Amino acid sequence: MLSPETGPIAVIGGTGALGGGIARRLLRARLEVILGSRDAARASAAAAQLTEEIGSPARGTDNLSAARDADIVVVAVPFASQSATLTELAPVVEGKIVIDTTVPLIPPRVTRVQLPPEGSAAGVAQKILGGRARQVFAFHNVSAKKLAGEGPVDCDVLVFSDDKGARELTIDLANACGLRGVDGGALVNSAAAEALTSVLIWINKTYAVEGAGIRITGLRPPSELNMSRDERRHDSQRDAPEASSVDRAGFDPARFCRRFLSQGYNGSLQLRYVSNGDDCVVLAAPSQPELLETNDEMVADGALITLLDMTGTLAVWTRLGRFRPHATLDLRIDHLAAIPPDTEISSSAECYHLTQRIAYVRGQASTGDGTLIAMLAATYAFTDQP
Amino acid sequence: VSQSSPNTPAMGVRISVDPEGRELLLLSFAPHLRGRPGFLHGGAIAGLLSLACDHAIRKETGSSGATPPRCLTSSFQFLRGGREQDVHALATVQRGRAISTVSAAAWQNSESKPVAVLTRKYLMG
Repeated sequence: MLSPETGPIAVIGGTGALGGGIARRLLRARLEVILGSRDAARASAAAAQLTEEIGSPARGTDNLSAARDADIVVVAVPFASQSATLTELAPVVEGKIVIDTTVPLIPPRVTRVQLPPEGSAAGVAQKILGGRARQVFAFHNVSAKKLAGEGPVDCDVLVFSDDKGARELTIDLANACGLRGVDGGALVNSAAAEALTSVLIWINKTYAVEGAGIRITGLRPPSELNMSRDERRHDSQRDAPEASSVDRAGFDPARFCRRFLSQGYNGSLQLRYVSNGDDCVVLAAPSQPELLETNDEMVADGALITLLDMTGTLAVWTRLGRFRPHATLDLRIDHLAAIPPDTEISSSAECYHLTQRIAYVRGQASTGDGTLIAMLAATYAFTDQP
Repeated sequence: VSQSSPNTPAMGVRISVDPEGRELLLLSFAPHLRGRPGFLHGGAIAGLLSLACDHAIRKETGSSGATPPRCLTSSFQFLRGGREQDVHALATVQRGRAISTVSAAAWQNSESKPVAVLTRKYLMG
């Protein structure tokens, strides 16, 4: 499952049209991206431009370094370079998820299906990486031009892999890019989507359009499709009284806190997990007056605000049952009492309303003896739908 | 940097004066202020903004023994992600008899592109 723990994503061929488009959308979803190219300088320049444009930091380097430094590797190179690229990357992608977008287009007859002797580009890749990496094929049918734009892309992303976890993560990534990922089953099925690309190029020419795409019909609406499997299962059992919170827990705040609250500013404030329910979370932190260097009076409450914001953030993911990138839109805080020094503050927050784009949270902070210190109303905007 | 509990690195906020003579608060980026990868933690920016407001209202009322104005409400608006760089903040006070309003903006590269703004209400005296 996609989460902030998801390490950097390398986009090999990141200076190309498809790779650049994917990188751009991953960055907009606030994921960490490393652009890879045969020419490290070109990758650096492209990364600098994306950073400037999107305001989310990307870096660029050669293909091998990019793949080595990443947890997930997206391969977006032409069919003619696929074998050489994968052979080069093989030593550094051991155990990693490798999402390959290669389609066997053989110029000049790109409007004709020409699958290679291995059966598909996926077959070629499997021969090279076989068993070393968690191989996925996806993004075959998506128009690079539309992906590079800001608007929605009217195309589903079929995702193929023999590794179920890798398929699910890739579907999350496609959704984070503002597309809709659809589970297409085993890697061998990739041949169908690869072949379809030649058909789409033919359609583009015949109807004089740019970027014809595919839609899988008969599925549930995107709001349900984008839910985690656990949440869907819970949804279908809505009336079953014994559906426990564990059942829907695709997102485990306790586990998340163990990994994530010890890092960065959260760690320096010593936030800790206390408990959670279906749509609420309780955290605690020592009260820590923040002082101005020239002033020894207690003047600010950054720790309290961070504690409330983090509690709200976790309440959203807990209710959602999965991690989904979001940004705090606004925080409204009523300060009911001063923060006593040297005490522990506990903060609880409930995500009481959720839409496709916005999560609404209310919460409060109190001292150990139950004195209310602050009330919170917050909104968060999901950032994975451009 | 500060006298808060010794095991806690404080944010390290300093007062700086800009070329126009305005008193700004400066939060220097440090690794312990990281949020998600590549970004400054929103809570650190919020902390800086609240410091800026509190500092400004105290300066306005002077440090004359009386109880300092008490903060009643805070409204933070987050406008863009803060990068792993220094942040400046400037607060302005709209003084009222019973209630004062203090607004602060925090920015990194350009003052015209704030990363977050805060408005606080204070009960006077």
